[in-house]
Amino acid sequence: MSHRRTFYIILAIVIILGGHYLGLWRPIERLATRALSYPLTAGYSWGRDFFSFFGRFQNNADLKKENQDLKERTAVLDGEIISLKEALRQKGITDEQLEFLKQEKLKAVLARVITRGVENNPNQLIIDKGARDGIKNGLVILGRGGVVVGRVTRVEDTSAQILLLTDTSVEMGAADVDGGLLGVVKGNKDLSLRLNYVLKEKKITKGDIIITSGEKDLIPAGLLIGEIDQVFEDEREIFKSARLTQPVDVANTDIVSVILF
Amino acid sequence: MLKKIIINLILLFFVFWLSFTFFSSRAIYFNPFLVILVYLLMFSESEIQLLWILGAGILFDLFSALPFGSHLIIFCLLFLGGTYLLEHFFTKRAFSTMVILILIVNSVFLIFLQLEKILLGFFNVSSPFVWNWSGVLLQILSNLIIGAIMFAVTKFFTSRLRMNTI
Repeated sequence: MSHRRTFYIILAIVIILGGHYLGLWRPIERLATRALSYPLTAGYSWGRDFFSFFGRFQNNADLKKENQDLKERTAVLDGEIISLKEALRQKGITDEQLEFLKQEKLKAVLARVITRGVENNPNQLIIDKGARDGIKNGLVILGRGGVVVGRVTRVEDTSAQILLLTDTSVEMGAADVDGGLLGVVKGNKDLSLRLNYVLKEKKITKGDIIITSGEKDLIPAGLLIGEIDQVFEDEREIFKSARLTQPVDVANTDIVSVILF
Repeated sequence: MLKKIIINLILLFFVFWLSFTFFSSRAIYFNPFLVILVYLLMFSESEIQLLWILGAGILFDLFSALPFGSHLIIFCLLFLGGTYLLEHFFTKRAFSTMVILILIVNSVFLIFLQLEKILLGFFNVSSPFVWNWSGVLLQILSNLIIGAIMFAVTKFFTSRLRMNTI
């Protein structure tokens, strides 16, 4: 009985995998992924809302203190937002980003997050759009407010994997608002974002806006990545680095735009 | 039998939905499917077990960033290994059996994912899996809690179980 069961399992695996890699099941797979896409994206969204709601109760004791801190922070941020908007407006990456992309003849595909997978990777997202929608490896992903949140790292027919910028394997060329190449943005092990390989003579300070420097056929230049939070300088090193903050909660992202370039 | 298959397919999709999307949105280390796998190994018929193993393997692979077949093969290996252990070592359907099997199945699942990552590395293919000790312990602990709850509920409704140790 045991041998027969093992034989049937191996046979089933061979048929399923053989059919998949020969493309025999493609119509069924497309149909299944399309049909399941809605309940899965809805599940992701509900889960996010559920845990956010649950989290609010958990932190109830700290809410008063947090509220006070936030009020003070908001006052500071209001001022920062005004100067930030002005800086962005000047570089054509403001709220009219879509207009900017249109002018550059760039197209974006709107995608919903299905899952973060079961591979214990907090930087992974799977979206419900894939090669059929024109998505290819290396394309840039924008989150809320047109902020760069990650890159496409694997594409299937009707879905794609995104790794967030905070992943250590994702890199992206970065520039300052004057458009000068500045360094490389890369994820750090503590899930923060780092700007590396900045020449020592280049002046960078807290609050500087960092944008993409562009990458041939994959990433347009001038997309907002974040702002400098802290600069790290060591006399023994050739380059200096900085920690970046992003104006969106990347972990809370459930709708993203994939820039087709 | 057809009614049973349809009910199990609906349950399978619900468990997949919970594990893959609902919990994954925040609690990424939470994967209750592995508990269901152990539960099925202990208490259901082999046809139903196969339906769950193959069905879940296909569903996970359809939306996973790992190469197609990864989950299918891993689930089948876990199923065969788990069945062997139940037939030769843990013949009592006891609480301790469930605890040990959850520990083994969960650990082996994560080890397989890590081995696959190393293997894919030889072919320059990246794997999204991250071995993180706190995540591993959190997943095993949460699955043990779910397993204990499921065992207690099952014991409450059926006399097939005994709350004893080996």
